Amino acid sequence: MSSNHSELLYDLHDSPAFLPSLTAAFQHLLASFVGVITPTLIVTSTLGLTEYTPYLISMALFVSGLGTAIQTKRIGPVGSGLVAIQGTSFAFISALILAGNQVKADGGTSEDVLSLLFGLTMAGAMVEVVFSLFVHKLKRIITPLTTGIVITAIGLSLINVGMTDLAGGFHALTSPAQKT
Amino acid sequence: MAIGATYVGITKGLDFSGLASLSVVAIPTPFAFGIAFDITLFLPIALIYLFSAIETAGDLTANSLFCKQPVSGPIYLARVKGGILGDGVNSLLAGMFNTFPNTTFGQNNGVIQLTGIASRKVGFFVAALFVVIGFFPIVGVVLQAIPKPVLGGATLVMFAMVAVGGLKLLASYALDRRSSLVTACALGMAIGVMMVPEALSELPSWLENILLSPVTSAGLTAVILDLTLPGKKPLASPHASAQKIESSTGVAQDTPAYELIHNPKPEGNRRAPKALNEKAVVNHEVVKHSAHSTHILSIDGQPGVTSALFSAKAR
Repeated sequence: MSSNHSELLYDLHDSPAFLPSLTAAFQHLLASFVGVITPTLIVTSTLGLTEYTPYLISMALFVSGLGTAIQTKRIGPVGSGLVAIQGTSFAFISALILAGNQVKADGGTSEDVLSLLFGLTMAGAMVEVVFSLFVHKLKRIITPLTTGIVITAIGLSLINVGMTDLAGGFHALTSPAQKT
Repeated sequence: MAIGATYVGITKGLDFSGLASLSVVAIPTPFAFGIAFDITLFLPIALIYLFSAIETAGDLTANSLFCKQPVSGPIYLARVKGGILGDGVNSLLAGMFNTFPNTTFGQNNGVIQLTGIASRKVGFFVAALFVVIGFFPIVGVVLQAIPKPVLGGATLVMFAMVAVGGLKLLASYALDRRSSLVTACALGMAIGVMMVPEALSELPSWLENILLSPVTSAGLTAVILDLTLPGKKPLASPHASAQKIESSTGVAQDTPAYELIHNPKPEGNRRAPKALNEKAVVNHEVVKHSAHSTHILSIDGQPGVTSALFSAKAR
């Protein structure tokens, strides 16, 4: 904790040796790994899609790697050029579960649920792509105040999910009599 | 988490039943499950994408700060713009390769701060590790076997840490009367709809679905109030922030330094006269330090706050 505000050991454009790079990369991996897979674990277990969970987690990790490379490399206008690790977002969990439950209520199969969720993911991504083109005009909206509030709200809204899991998951909450 | 999983593994046994029916390598197949769309279910998702973009802007601001990169001006704007565009492109890839929306993670900023290594080379190493792990589904099965309460224990802290990250960002933005009001309204709405979701039951169902998400209602409230309330201050100049704190000496509720220092030890409030003295000292210290700092965001940084805390304790 002592070196928090001292100068950086390696700057953005420095090239540390293999071993320090790998060690630092592992620390990033440990910090983000659970985050990358947790939304998939929660969405699939809540919607009863556990048969696909291993494959979907593989894909989540694969896309996180791909995305992190793009963010770091900066291909044309795409990417920040910072070490910005990408991963599956927590913010969408409740909306995805809502959408999935709707499909199931209409009698859709697991494949129907997944195809809709991925369709929504792609369509929404276009919203963000278009939004990014106007970022410089939205300086008045993107302030530490609004971003701080949104991030705080995201964290608070997810505590529900964490606490439910801590107590044994949705299943345990709905059937309290079933104790082992 | 490893200890927790091992404990349950020994006492109750873990469920690895998925292993039997498992292929060794996962091949990324685009559109493996087909693609579908529904406009009413799309609206909340689209809104969350907008707030996700705002969140990414916040994360990248923190990231730039830790990497000693500019946090205002054209370079910074290009980074934020590219980062949000990158989030969008990556989410497109996510949908194509059968996973859920991607975003920039905030917790890795802590790793950069901790290791002092901001090199992009590390980013490529992380990317390679993710891709390699992704190709082997056994990872997924092992992870699925993690008992729920163990997962919950880790995620609860992680989720709460996201909230704390937001608070840190808020604290970096001197909370004056106006921004306190915006924050109070927005967080009030967020926690309100979380605790009393029935309050929205009379609304049309599409609107109910949108506002039912605490993130959306907080974000909407914050953006609308921040745009409409008069007296918005220009973004973050060190001079203005130092003045802000100086002018509030004595009415210290307005300064982030006061919040940061006094929240961890609320018992200080009982000794009112002494606390008042401390408050004055604290404010002077912060003013001194913020004069040295290059940007308003560093006001919440350790040097100012810790030394202010020490000097407050010493007296």
